[in-house]
Amino acid sequence: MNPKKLISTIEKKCQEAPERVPDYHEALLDAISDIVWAEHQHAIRATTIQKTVTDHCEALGDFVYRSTEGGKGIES
Amino acid sequence: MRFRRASFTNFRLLRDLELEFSTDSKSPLTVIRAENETGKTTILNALQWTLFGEEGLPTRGASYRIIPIDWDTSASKAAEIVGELEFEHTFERPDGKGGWIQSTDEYLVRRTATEMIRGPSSWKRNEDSFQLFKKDQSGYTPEKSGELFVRQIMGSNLKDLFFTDGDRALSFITSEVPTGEKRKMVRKAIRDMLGFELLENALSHVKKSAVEIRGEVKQFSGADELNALQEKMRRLEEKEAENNKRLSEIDGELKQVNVDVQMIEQKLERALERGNREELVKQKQLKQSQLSSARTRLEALRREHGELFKVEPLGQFLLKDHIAKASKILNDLKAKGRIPRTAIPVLRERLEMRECICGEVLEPGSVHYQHVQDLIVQQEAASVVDDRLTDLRLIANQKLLQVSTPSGDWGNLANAIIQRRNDFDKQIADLESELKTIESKINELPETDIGFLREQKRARLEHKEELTREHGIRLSDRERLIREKKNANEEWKVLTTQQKRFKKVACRLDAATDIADVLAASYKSIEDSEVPRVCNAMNDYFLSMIQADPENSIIRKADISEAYDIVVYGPQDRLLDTDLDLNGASRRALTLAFILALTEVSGVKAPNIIDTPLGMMSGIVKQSVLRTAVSHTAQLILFLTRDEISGCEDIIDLYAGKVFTLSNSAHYPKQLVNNTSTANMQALLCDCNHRQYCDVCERIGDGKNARLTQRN
Repeated sequence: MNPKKLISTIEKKCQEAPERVPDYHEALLDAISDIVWAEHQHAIRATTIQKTVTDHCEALGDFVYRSTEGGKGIES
Repeated sequence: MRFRRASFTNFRLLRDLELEFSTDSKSPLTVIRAENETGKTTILNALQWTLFGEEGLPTRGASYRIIPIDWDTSASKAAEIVGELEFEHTFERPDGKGGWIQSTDEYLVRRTATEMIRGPSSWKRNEDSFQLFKKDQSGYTPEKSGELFVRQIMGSNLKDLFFTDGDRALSFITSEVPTGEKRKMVRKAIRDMLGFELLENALSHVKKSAVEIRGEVKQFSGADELNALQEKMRRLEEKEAENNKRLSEIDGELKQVNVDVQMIEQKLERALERGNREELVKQKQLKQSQLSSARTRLEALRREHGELFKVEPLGQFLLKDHIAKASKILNDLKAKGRIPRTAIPVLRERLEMRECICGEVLEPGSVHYQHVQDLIVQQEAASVVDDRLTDLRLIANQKLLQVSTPSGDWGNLANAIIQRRNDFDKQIADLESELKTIESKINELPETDIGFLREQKRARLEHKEELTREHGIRLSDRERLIREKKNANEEWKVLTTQQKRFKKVACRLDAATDIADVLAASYKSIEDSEVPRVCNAMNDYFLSMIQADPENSIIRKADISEAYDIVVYGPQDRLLDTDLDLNGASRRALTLAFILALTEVSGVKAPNIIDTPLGMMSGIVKQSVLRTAVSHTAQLILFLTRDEISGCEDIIDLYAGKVFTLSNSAHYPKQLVNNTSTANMQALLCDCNHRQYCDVCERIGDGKNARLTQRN
């Protein structure tokens, strides 16, 4: 599928996720776009996909953690 | 992606060939006019080889020779094969501000290989070399991971969608391909083009990541409760995954069963429309019996008819006029008292009485007595004749009476028999015709066994019932597992928020959960909105191509079933058999409509290269197929024969940015008018468009073709 169409659909669905901290939706979209891109790469050649996906999930979680610990974000 | 230029060296018939493609979005059509055996399919294969290597060749390259068949081994046994393709590609990526950045780059792909002739039917091809160059201000610069890049922008698994020919495209619908295989192809094309597989894989990996993240609490001391909870959640996840997998399988099986039942019902309906075999056999036996009886009766009539020529009635019939004449004479004689002669007994009596009727005394020896005696002698002499005449009069009258009654008239009898014979002849002809019809109906049902179909339907419905029962149980299990997971999650949250040291793990888990939810929702959104769009677009294009009226035509609608069958409906939503009910033109139009719809809805901008798509089409259908195809593709490259072009010239005028003609030098003198004086068999390209011919491409008959003019 055209990446623009796929990402547009994902972007809409990101808006429906809880806004855990400021700019969370944007960070969520970035993380998912990266995961989708990694999956795309993985489909073409055997890359170590599982670790990459976990890294992206953790990075997004750490973004939330930093934002809430610093008192800048919204507590979920 | 748009193709700009391609060139091939020593690729079979393509000794040295360069092609340019139209990249004008207003004139997206490139036409390569080419007759049979001029290298159309070879160009299609050469383009795929250049992009995808051996994988792009028929049979994935195995037993596919590339070196020209007439390669002169006296100079060299090896040939260097080169394929080059220049293309442009537009990248779209988010700009981070809600917008998109677009950039178009130009590339050159170059693939080379060496192939060596080892014997009359043996050759060896060395591993090919692939290079990708990107065009910049200084020219073409090599790119790393070139093949990967090409596969990313034009997946090799989708090549059958973009590179196709009229016959190969039919593999999506033809019964020559097993149903399971066709569904797999359609499903794979849809899933690949719409990104389902990608999202499914991503979701599966994110769920595994969530389990890994939850396991991170193990590193903390004194987290036994959390560890136990984590283990419980892991088990719930496993159960849920297993349950969901089975639910998905049941969904698939149920869809399949529904399709099967529908197909069986359709077969049954068709079979019953044509006739029940058992019923037809009974009818056949009845007709055979009636026929046998009619033939027996006809034979009896024939005999009766024969007898008619042997007996008295025929004589009566033939002598009817003579008998009537004789009867009249005899009746006249009777009327005159000439017959029967009754005077002798009276005269004898008068002699005995000795007195005449006139009162004269009749004394023996007297003159009067002697006169009466003489009269008696005379009368006796004539009585034999009189008796015979009297008999004849009676017979004549009797026969006349017989022939004058309808039942006694030979002519009537003969006519009646002829009439009955005619009736039986007609009855026998009718019965024979009916019998023939019944037999042909039976012969048309060689595979149809209604009893077997009914049994199949019953078995499928039973299976459906079992599946539905299991589905219900699994759904209830899913709800229970979701509840248990929710409770465990809440418990987890309470435990992790109580201690700050677990906060980070909790944030990571929330993030993984959100990612999984968004991926699942995106998948569902695409499934709910894009698949119906593909179906609708395919239906619109198909009906438009074949000029069908959705209200009145036999073909009313095209759709993709839940089991991924491309199906066509007729009146009253009756399924049509794509092999039996659709003609060749409609079958090609249907598959082209599917390819165009899928490409358009997916938003993938790639060229569609189609070999002889308009074969088996004529008139308005051919024109509308071409017009619809060119209106719904980013770039359309068609290989068309003169016959395919005929009648479509105006459309080509309107949409084609480039038109060339391809000829085969080996076609001289049988098909080509002029000798091109090439040393080898090869494909020759000239600039003649669809309305022209020249010394290179002129074929026998072109000069007399009013649609063509000579190009100088």
